[in-house]
Amino acid sequence: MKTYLAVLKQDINIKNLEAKLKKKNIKPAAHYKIIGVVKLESEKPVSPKDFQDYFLSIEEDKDNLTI
Amino acid sequence: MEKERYIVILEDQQKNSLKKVENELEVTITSSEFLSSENRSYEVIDNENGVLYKNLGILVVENMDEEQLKSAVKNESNPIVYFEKEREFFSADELSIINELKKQSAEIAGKITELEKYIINKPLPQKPLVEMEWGLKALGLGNSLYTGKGVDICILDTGLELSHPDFSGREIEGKSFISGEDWNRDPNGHGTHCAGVAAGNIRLDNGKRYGIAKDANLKIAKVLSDAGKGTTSSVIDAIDWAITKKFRILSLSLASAVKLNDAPSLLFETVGARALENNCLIVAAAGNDSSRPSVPKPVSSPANAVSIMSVGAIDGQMKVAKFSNAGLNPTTGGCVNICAPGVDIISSYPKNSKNKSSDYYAMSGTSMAAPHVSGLTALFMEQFPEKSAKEIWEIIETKAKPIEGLKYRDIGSGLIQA
Repeated sequence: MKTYLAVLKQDINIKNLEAKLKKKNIKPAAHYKIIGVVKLESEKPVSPKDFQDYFLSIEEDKDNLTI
Repeated sequence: MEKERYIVILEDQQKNSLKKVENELEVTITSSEFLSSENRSYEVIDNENGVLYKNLGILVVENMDEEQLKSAVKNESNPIVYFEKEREFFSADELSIINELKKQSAEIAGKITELEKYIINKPLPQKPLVEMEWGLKALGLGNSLYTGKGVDICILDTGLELSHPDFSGREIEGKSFISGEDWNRDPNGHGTHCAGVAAGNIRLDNGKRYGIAKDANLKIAKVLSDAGKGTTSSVIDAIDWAITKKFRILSLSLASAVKLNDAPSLLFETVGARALENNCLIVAAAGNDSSRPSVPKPVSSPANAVSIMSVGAIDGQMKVAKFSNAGLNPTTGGCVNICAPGVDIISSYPKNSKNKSSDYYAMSGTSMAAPHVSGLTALFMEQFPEKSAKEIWEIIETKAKPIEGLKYRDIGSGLIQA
């Protein structure tokens, strides 16, 4: 299972997005409303092309932040 | 010799009286009726001649013995009843000039007295009540009356050792975004050090001040594990929590190296912008990947996002710290916005394997520079409560002091100043 972070476009229909995510077997793990970001979990890679109507960007979560 | 004339008033002008005066003063008196345009008084009056103005009963004589005149006045049998020295009169214009000069000199005298009073009563230069660590002195913290009171400042790091004596009595809110690790314990020590710089106070062992915003409301988000590592999603999770809670400053002493010409993450660009829209400033360390002077490396993520304030580090000699990253990706963002002390910074620290006996420890890194900026931001937010986070950012950069010989790409607008 991989985690992704996507920046949402303005004025999208969240219900439609949720439906599309379900169809693609992607789990919406969190919706950070105030910053307009969603966290997603998926076994398969998430293609930005599939969500270009909803996301400004999508990137895989990285474990690379250090002190 | 200067002529001195006297105006002498006579009791009467009888012949014997005039004779008596002539004898006593050894002058010949000429009556004013004999004066004319050819025979003016000033041509007549000299040591041996006086002029009597008959209508006035006044005699004008020259160079008299003043003591003799005085005794004549005292002598009741003498016709001289009064005398005085001739006075000089000025025209009205000359008088007004003199009056004006007198007025001005009185004003100047008043100002001199005022200045004298100020100099006498001026307080002697005060020594700072407490000694400060070098970083705080470099910020000119002695000039600030503010302590960050009422400002919420959140440290996103390895947590805080809440049992540390400098924090144990304070009301501190926190949340852990690392599974199985609490926010209020910090075996690593990095988070406690950063929290101390931003919002600590004075050392309990020697009274030296090491923290900037001692009265700020300290908030802790544990986003890095005890090993000092963390994920993007933990940081995003914590930022969302902090903005939702309306914290004003988020201090990120964490970084992920980027390559030359790497574009900043749109995720962090967006998050930084949303934070500013919500009146919250994100401050981040520029990263420690450089080996100066030969190998400067670009500003790390997330500090390379344009909407996040990126902080480089300098040392006590006002040189760029050898590890401090540089603004090498100016076309895509990734500038250093500001610099702050980041070498040999002493702050609060838990007792651990590195630091066995003391509650304080010296560390170096842009991680130490970032909380200097965060702490000072809290002071400005207290000072200018009506200003937005974006305006406070502008104030910080405007007030920053350029350092001679150092480039914008290394220190941005310069060394932050209180």
